[in-house]
Amino acid sequence: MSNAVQLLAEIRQSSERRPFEVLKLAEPLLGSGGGLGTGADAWLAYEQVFVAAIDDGEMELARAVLGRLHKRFGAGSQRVKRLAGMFNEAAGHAAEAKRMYGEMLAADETNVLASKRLIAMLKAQGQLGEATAQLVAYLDTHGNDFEAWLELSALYLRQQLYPQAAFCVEEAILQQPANHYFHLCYAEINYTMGALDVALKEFLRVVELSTDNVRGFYGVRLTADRILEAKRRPKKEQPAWADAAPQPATLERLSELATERLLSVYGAAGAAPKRAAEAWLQQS
Amino acid sequence: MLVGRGLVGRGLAALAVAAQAALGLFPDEAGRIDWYRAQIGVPHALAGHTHNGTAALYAATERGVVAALDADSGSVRWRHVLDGEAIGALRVGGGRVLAQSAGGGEARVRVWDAHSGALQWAFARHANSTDPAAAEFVGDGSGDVVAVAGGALVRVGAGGEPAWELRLGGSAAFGRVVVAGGSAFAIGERRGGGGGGLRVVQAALADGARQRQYSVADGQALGSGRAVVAGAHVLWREDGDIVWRVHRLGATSPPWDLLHAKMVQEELAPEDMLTSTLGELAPGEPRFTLTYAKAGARKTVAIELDEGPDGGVGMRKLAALRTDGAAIGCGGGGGAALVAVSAADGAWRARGAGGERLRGRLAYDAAAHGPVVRAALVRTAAGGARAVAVTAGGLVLCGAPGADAALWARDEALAHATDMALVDLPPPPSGAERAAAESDPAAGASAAARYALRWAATARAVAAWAFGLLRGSAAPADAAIPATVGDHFGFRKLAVFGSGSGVVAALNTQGGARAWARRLADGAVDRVVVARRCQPLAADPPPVVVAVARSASANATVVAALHALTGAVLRSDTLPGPPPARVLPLPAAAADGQQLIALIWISSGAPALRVWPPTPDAARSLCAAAAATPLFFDVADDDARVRGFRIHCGADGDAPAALPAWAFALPPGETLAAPPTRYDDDAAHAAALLGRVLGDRSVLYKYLSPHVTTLAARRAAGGVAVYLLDRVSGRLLHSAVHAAARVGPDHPFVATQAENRVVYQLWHDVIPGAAPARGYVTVVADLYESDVPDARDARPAFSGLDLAQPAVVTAAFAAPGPATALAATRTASHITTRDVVFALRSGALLSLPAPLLDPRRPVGAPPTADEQAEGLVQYAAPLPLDPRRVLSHVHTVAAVRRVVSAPTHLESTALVAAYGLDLFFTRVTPSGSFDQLSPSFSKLNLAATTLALAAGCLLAAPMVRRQVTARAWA
Repeated sequence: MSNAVQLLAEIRQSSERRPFEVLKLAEPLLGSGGGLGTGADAWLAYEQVFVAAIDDGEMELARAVLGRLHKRFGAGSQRVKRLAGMFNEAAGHAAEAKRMYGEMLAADETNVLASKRLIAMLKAQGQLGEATAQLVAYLDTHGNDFEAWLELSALYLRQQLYPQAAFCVEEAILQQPANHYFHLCYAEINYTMGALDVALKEFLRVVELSTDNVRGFYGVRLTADRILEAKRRPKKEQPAWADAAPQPATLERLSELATERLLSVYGAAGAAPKRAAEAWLQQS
Repeated sequence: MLVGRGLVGRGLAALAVAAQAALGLFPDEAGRIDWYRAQIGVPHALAGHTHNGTAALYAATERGVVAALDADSGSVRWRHVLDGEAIGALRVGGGRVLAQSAGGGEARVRVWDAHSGALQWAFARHANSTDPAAAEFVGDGSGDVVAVAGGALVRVGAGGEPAWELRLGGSAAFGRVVVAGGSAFAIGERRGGGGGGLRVVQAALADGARQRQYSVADGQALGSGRAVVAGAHVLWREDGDIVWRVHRLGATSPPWDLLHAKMVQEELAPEDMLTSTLGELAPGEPRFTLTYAKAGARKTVAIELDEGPDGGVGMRKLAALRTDGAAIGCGGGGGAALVAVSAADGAWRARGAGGERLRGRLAYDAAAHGPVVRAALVRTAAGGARAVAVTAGGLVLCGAPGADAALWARDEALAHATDMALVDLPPPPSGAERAAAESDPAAGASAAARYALRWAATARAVAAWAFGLLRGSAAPADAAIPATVGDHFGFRKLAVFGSGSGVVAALNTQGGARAWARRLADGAVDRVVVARRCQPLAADPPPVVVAVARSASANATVVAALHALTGAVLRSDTLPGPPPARVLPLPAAAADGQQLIALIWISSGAPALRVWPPTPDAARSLCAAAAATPLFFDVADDDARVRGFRIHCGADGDAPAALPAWAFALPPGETLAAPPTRYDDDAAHAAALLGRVLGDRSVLYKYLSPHVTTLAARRAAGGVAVYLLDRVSGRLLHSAVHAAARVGPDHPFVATQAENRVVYQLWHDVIPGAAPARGYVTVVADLYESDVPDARDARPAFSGLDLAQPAVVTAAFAAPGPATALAATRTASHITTRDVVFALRSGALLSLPAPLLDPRRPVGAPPTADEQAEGLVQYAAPLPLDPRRVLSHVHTVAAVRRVVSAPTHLESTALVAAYGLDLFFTRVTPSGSFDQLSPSFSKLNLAATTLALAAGCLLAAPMVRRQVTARAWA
C-alpha cells in the first residue's frame, strides 16, 4: 500500500498527469476502504486522483473524491471550489463552471488558478475573444507570467493579429532573453508579417543561442533569400526596410552558411537524410 | 505557527539561560590552572623554639632562606629569602630569630620576630665573601646581638644601631662569638705560620673595651673533630693524646684544665679515645658530643660541662646512643637531647637529658631521597618531642615518638633545581581501552562483549561525571587522574627536574603531583634531556629522559637513561673524571629511536667528545647524521674567546671528534661576562610567518636562523658589549656597546631569543635623559634579511655558512624591574604572538606582549596611518609593570633561575614554568583563548537548550503541519 502511495507521490512530483496509472494505483486503496495515506500528502493524492478521474471520465469516482475533499475543507476552500468547477467543466456544465470561477474571482481577483481555469475553459469553447480579454486582464496583474504571454500570443496568432502576437513574444523575451525558442517565435511572426530585416536578426540570434538549430538556420536561409530577392527588385518596389538590410554579399554568405550548416546537421544523420535535405534545399 | 514555534523555542532558551544564575558560579581560575609551591631549600641549620605557647621549627637553608615551619604540619609560617647570601649562623631565643649571612660584599645580621617573621632590625657591614662572620644573642633579654662582621666585633642593639665596635685585626679568622660572664669573645683560627691554634679576643660587653687577647689550643682547628667550643669553654684533644684540655674563656690561671673521658664513659679504652671525635651540640650551651667506635659499633655521647664552686671544670654525661650509620643531632630549647636517625631506614632514637628515651621511625623512600644526613630534636609546646631529619636528597622529615610514619615531609630537592625538561604524556585511555583493560581475556574474544564493555565503561565515566556535577565539582577531580596520564589538550605534561642534591623528580604540570623521584648520585644533576618522546602506542618504546649527574664521592659522572613515566633506570653509565662542560642533545637518533647526546669536555685544544649511549651503533648513527648535515656547537673556553666546532667522523665512520671550525676572539680589553645563550632546539626559533607585513602591504622578511647566539662581554674601559654570533660560521651578526652598563652577580645579564627577536636586559649606571637616571634596561633586537621591504635572499639553499648579514632594528626600554630570567612563550604552530616573560627579583612573573617590545615603535611622534595599520604604538621608554600581566598574581615566585615555555595542543595556549627556589606553573594565552570556550560557557546550558529546542520542535511539528495543509487548501 505504501508503495502505491509512494508511486502516486512520484507521479505527482514529476508533474505528469498519467490518469490511467493514477487510477490503477488509487482504486484498490479507495476500494479497500482505506485512504490515500496520512497527513498533508494524502489530500494532494486525493486531488491527483480527482484530476485523473475527470481526465478518464470516471465521474462517479471524481464525485466521491470531491465529496471527501469538500467534507474535509468545507465550502469555503477556494481550491475545492476550483476542483468543483473542473468537475462541472468535465460534466459539460460550462455555465455552472463559469459561474463558480466568476464567484472565486469576485472573492479574490488575483486567484491565479481560477483565472487560468476560466481562460482555458473559454479557449476550449472557442470563445477566443473573451478568452483573450480575460487573459489580458490576467496579465495586467501577473505581468511576469511568461507562459501566459506565450498563450496570449498564440491566441492572437489564431486571430491573425500578428503585431499583437509579436508584442506578447517581446514581453516573454524581456523576461527570458536567453531562451532561443522565444526568439524563434518572434522571428517567425516577423517573417510572417514581412518584417524580414527583424526576422533575419532574430533568426541569427536563434542560431547564436542554440548550436546548429535547424529551424533557425532554415529561417536564416529563407529570410536571406527573400531579402536578396527584394533587393534585386527596382528601387521603387523595394520595401522600406531594404536599405537597412545587410548588403547582398553578406546575405549570400549567410544563405550559404545556413545551407552548409543544414547539410552538415542532416549529413550527420546519414547519407539518405543528407540527400533528401539537399533535394529539399535545392527546391526551396 | 512558525512564529509560535519560535516563541516556544525562545521561551525554552530563556528558561535555560535563567537557570545559569543558579548553576553558573564559576570559581576564579587562580589556583586551578596554575600552581605554586613555596620552598625553602635544604636546611643546614635547624632549631626548635617555643614561644608564647607555639612551637616552631626554624631552618636556615642552603638556598639562603630563613624559615619558620609549623612543627605539626611542616607548613611554612614565614620565610625570608636572602637571595645570593650564604647564611652562617641561625640562633633562636627570647622570641627572636637571628641569622647572620654574607653575600653581595656585605656581612649582615638580621633579627626577626620568631612568631610573625617581622624584621626587627638589620645590620650590615662591608665585608668580603670569604671573611668569616658569626653572631650570638647577648642573652640578657635585651635582644642585643654580638657579631663578627667586616673584621670587627660589634654589639648591635635594637634598631640595628651598633652600640660599640672593636676592630679585631687580621691575626685570625674570627668565625665564632661567645658571650659569657659580662664579656664577648671572638674566637678564630690563627692565620699564617705557627701551626694553627685559636685566637681569642675578649671585650667588655658593656662598652666593647678590649680586655684581653690571647692564643689557646695551639695546633688545633675548629671543625676538625678534635676541638669544639662548648658554651664558654674551648675543649680540645691534642693529636695522639687521650685526654681533653678545656679552657674557660677569659680564664688566665690555669689556662686550661685536663679532663678525661673516663669521667663520663667507663668503657672507653685509650685506643678508642685516640680515634674519637668531638662535635658541637647546642650553640651557646656548655655541651658537646663525643663520638667513638667500640667493638665495631659507633656511639655518641652528649656531655655537659659544669663548673665546680672552686672554679674547676667538671663533666656530666647527658645521654649516650649507638649511632651506627646514623645522622646525629641535638635538641635545642634548653632540654639537651641527642637524636640519632638511621640513614638506612629512618628509625630514630633519642635520649633526653633526664634519661628520657624516645624512639620512632621516619619511613621514606631512600632510593628517591638518599640517606639521612642531618637530624635534630624539636620540643613542642606541650612538652613533646619531634625528630627532624634531612636526607641527602633534600627531603625534610618530621616524626613523633612512637609513630612509624613521618608526621610530615617536605621535599626540598626541587628548591635546588638545576635543569628541567618537559615530557609529553600519553592521552587518557578511551572507553575501548578502558574496557580492554577491565575485561578478562575470555570476554575480549567476543566482539559483542567488548562492545558492551566499552559502553559500560563509558556509562560509568558519564555517571561519575554526573555525580561530580551534582556534588558541585563539574571538573573531574585531578587527583583521580594518575600523574603520568595526559589530556587531550596537552596541558598535562611531566616536568622532569634535576636537582643539586642528585635527585631527578617528575611532577605533573597540572597540579604538581609527583609522578616519581630517584636519586642518581651524591652530586648535582647538571642536565636533564628528553631523549625519546612519548609514542602513540603503549607497546612502543617508552619515553626516555637522560640525566647527567655528578658523583662527588667517586669523582665521576653518572649518565642515566630513565623511563620518563616510571623513573626506572633503563641504562646507567659511570664515566670517571670531572663532569662534562657541555651536554648537547644531537639531532640524531640511535636505532631504537633514542636521541643521541654529546658530552663535551673542554680542554685547551679540541674539546673531548663522547657520544651517549656509548655504543658503536650510536657512534655510527651520529656519523651518518653528521655526514648528512654538518653538526656544529660552540664553547666559551676562556674569558676572551668563543670557539666553534664541527662534529667530524674519521674514515672508519665510528669515531666522532670535534674539529675546530671557527674562533671568535673578543676585542682586546674585553672579557666574557655571559656565555653564549643556551641552545635548546630549533623549534624555539621556528616561525609561522616568514615575514612581517607592514602597513603598506610590503613585507620585511625575518632573519630566521636557529643558530643565532647572544653573549655579553665586560669591557675594561667600562661598559658591556653584547654580540650576536652565528653558531655555524662564527660570524658576528650584530654588536652593541652599552658604555654605562655593568654586569655582575648582583646585576645579571639575562637574554632570550625567539624567532628573529633577541631580548636582553642589563644594568645601566647611567641612562642618558632618563629619570631615574640609572636602572635596568631591556634591549630588543629584531633581525631581518634586509631593511628594504620586499627584499629577501632569493637563494634556494639556506645555509648557515653562507648567509647574508642581517639588518638589525633595535630599541631600548626601561625594564619593569630587575629580572633573573627571561623567556619567550611557545605555541604549537607559532601563530600566536610570543609574549616575553620576565621573572622579576620581586617574585613576580611578568608577561609582556610582543607589540610592546617592538623596536619599530615610532619615537617622538604618533604612529602614521601605515604604522597604525601595522599595529605599532608610539614608543614610550618604560615597560609597564601592569598588575594584570603578572602571571604569578598573588604569589611570590622567589629566586627564579629559569623560565621555560612549552606548547600545548591548543595553538592559543602555552605552558609557562618557572623554577628556582619556588616552582610555578601556569598557562598563558598571549593572543587570547581564541580556540577555546570561555570558562563561563555552560555546557549544561547548551545541552539543556538543545534538548528544549528538540522538545519544542517535536511539539510544534504537528501543529505546523496542520497549518500548512489548511493554508494550502484555503
